[in-house]
Amino acid sequence: MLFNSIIFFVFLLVVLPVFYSLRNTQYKKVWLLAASYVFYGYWDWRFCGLLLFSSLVDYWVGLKLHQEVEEKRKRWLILSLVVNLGLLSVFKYFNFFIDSFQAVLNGFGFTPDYLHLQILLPVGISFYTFQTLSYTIDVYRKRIEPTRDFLSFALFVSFFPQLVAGPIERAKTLLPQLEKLKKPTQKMVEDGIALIVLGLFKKVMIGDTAGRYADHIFNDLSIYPSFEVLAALLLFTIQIYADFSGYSNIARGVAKLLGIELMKNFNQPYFSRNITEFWHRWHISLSTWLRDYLYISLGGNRKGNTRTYFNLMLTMLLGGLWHGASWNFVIWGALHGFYLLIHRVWLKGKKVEDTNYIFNKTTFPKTLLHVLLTFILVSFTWLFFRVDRLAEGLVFFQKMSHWEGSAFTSVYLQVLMAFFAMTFAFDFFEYRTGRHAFVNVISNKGIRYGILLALFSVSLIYIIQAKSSPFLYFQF
Amino acid sequence: MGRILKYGIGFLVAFLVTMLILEGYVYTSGASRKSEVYFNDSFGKAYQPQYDYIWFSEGFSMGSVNEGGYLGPFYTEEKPDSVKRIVLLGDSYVEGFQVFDRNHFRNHLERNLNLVHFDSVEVLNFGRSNFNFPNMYAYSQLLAQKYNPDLYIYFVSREDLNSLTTDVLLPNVSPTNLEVVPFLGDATLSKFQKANTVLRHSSLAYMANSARRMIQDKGLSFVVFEGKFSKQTPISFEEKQIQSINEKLFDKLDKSRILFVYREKEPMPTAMRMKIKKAGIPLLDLSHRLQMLELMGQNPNGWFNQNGDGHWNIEGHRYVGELLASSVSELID
Repeated sequence: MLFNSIIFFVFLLVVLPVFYSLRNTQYKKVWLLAASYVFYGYWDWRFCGLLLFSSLVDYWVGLKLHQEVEEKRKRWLILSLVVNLGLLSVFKYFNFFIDSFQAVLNGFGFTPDYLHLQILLPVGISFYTFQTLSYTIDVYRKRIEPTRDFLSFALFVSFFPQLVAGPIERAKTLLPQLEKLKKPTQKMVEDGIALIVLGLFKKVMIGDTAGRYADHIFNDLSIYPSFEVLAALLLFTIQIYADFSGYSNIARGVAKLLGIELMKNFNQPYFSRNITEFWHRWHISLSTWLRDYLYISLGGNRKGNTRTYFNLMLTMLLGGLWHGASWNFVIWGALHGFYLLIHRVWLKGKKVEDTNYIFNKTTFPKTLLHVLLTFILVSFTWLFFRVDRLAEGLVFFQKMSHWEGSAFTSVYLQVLMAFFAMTFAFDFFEYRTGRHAFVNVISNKGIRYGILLALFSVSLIYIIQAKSSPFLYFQF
Repeated sequence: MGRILKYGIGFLVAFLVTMLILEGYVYTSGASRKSEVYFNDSFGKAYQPQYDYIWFSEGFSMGSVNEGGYLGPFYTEEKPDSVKRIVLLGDSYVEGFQVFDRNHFRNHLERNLNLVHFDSVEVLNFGRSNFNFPNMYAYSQLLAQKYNPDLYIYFVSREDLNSLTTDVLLPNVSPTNLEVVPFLGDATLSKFQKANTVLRHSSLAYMANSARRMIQDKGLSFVVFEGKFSKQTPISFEEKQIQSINEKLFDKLDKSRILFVYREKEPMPTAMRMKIKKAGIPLLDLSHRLQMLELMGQNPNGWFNQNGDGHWNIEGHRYVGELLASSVSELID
C-alpha cells in the first residue's frame, strides 16, 4: 500500500478511529500489528511470512543473548546475522553475485548454465532487516535489554508507518514507545497532520512530477539532446530528495497520529556546505546505522589514518550496495566514499560544523559557493544511482562531451526553476523554523489549515488523475 | 465570535493565496497543462493557435500548436510551385502528442522525402484525437485544403467501421445531406464554453476535471483500489458492415490525391478492406508490418511505463515514417 494512494487514506480512516477507541494497550498493539500486516500484505500476502519469520528469529535471539554465558553469546549474534543477511542475500543479492560471477567466467571463455533466479524482491526488506539487526547487535553490545513482549517486538519490526522505507529506527527509541503506546498529544496530532500533508505534497507534486521527466529521458538517453539529458539529471536530483524526504515526513506524521515519535531522516541536505555535512543531513537513519554498526565495528578512526580511510571507503561501498544489487550503486557509494576521504584529508582533523549560518549576510557568498559545489558533486553521483546499466552512464558522458542544444531550452529552464523554487522554498522554511511541520509556527490556525487544505486538495486531485508512483526507495 | 471570524478569514485568504501560488507552480512545472481546445465557428472544437504544451501520458513531449492551429511546423496557406504538400488526417495516433515532433512520423516522413526531393516536401499534421472518418473528411474540407495539399493521407482504424459521432462539437458531415459542417449541433455548446473558459486558463481546474472524468469513466472503486480488483473487458470488434455514411464519403474523395493507411497492428477487417478496394482508394495496410516489428522485439505500441499497448512509441513513429516515405515518394511525383 502506497502512502500516496487513495486506499492508504481509506486505510488510515479505519485504523485511526479504532486505535483511538481502544483503551487496553495490548488490544492497541494487536490492532496496530494486524494493520501493519494488512498494509504490508497488500503488496503480496506471501511477504508477511518473511516478516513474521524475521520477527520470531530476532525475538528469540534477543532473549538467548541475554540468557547465555559470555562465550556463547557470539554464536547467537552470528545466527541472527546469518538469518537476516542470508534472507537479504537470497532475495536481493543472489542474482547480482551469480550474474557477476558468470560474467567473469564468460570473460575466460567458460559458458556455465544460466543460474539467474526469478525472485520477487520483498518490499522494504533492506529497511526492516537493518532495523532488526540493530536490535540484536544492541542487545549483544548490552546497550539495551531484550524485550520479553513479543507483541511489541513484532510491532517494532513491522510498524507500518516506517516498515517499507524507514526511517530505520533503533530499538532503544522505538521499542519503549511501542510497549507503552501512549495517546498522542494535541501538538503531536497537529504536527502529524501537517507532516502528512507537506510530505504528500513533496512526494506527489514535486517528486513524482519531476520524476516523469527523468523517467522518460533516462529511458533512452540517446535520443535526447545534451541539455535535456542534463536537465533530466537535475530533475532526478530533485525527484529523489522530494520523493524520499516526502515519504519520511508522511511516515513521521502517521506515527505521530499514533503517539509515536520517529527520527528525522532528512535535514535540508542540499543546503550542505560540504560532503561530510551532506551525510549528516541525508538519509540520517541509514548514515548513522552505517556509522554505528559498520564503520565503528571496523575500527572507525581509532586505528590510524590509512585504516580510517579504508573503513570509510568500505562503509560507503557497502552502503552503496545496500541501495541495490547493481554495480551502479557500488560506483555511487565509491564516489561518495572518495569525496568523504578527500574531505577528511582536507579537514586535517578539524570537526565539521553544522551550525546554522547559511543565511548569515557576511558569509553568505562564500557559503553559497560551497553549497553550490557540494550540490554539483552530489548531483553527479545521482547519475549512477539513476541509470539502469553502466552503458547508459557512458551515453550521458558522450552527450556532455558532444554538446547539442535543444529547441526547448527555455521550457526546460522554466520547469527547472519551478521545481528548484518549490523544493528550496520547503527547505528554506524548514531551515528557518527548525521544523519539518513548518506551517505550525503560524499561530492563526485558520491560516495554517487554509494552507494545508490547499496543498492536500491539489495533491489528492493529482493522485486521482495520475497513477500513483511507488517511492523510489521501495526497491531497496 | 471575533476569534472565529479571524480564523475564518485567515483560512479563506490562506487557502486562496496558496491555490494561486500552486496554480502557477502546477503550470510552470508541467504537472498539468491547460485545455488545448476552444470553440471556433469555422471548425467547431479546434486547437488554440500558439498553445504551448508539455505532454505526459504514455509518452512525453513538448511543443506548440502553430499559428495555423495544427501541430508541427507552420507553413503558410500559399504554396510555392516547387513545393509538394502532404496533409496527414487521423485520430490521436496521427496527432501523436506522445512524442516530440522531432520523433513524430510526420518529421521522419518529411525528412526522408526531402532526401529524395531536395527539400521540396512539406508534411502538415492535422491529426486530432477522437476523430473518426467523417470528422477527418470534414476537417480536410474546412481547414486542410486551404493549404493546397498534393496528397491527403487518411489514417483509418477498425473503429472507423462503425464510427458514431460522440462529440457533436467536432467538425463533421451532416448525415442527411453529407454537407460538411463545423459542428453537428449546439446543444452542448454553452456548457462546453462555460467549462472551457475555466479549463483554458487554469491548470488546476484542468487537473480537477481530469480527476472527475477518471472517476466518471472508471468508477470510484477503480480509483480507490487502483484497478487492483477490477477486471478489464477487452474491446471486441465485429466485422460489421461499414457505415453507409463512410461509403458515400469514399465516393466523394479525389482518388488521385488520396492514400488510406490502415494504422492498426491487428489485422484489417475484410469488410473494410473490400469497401476501400471497391471505392478505388489506394491503401497501405500497416498491420502485418507492425506485427513483424513486434515479433522482432520492438513493439511499436509498447511503453516502458505501462503494461498494455498504447499509441505508437518513438520506434513506432520512426518505422511508420520511413515506411510511408518509401510508399509515398512515387505518389507525389
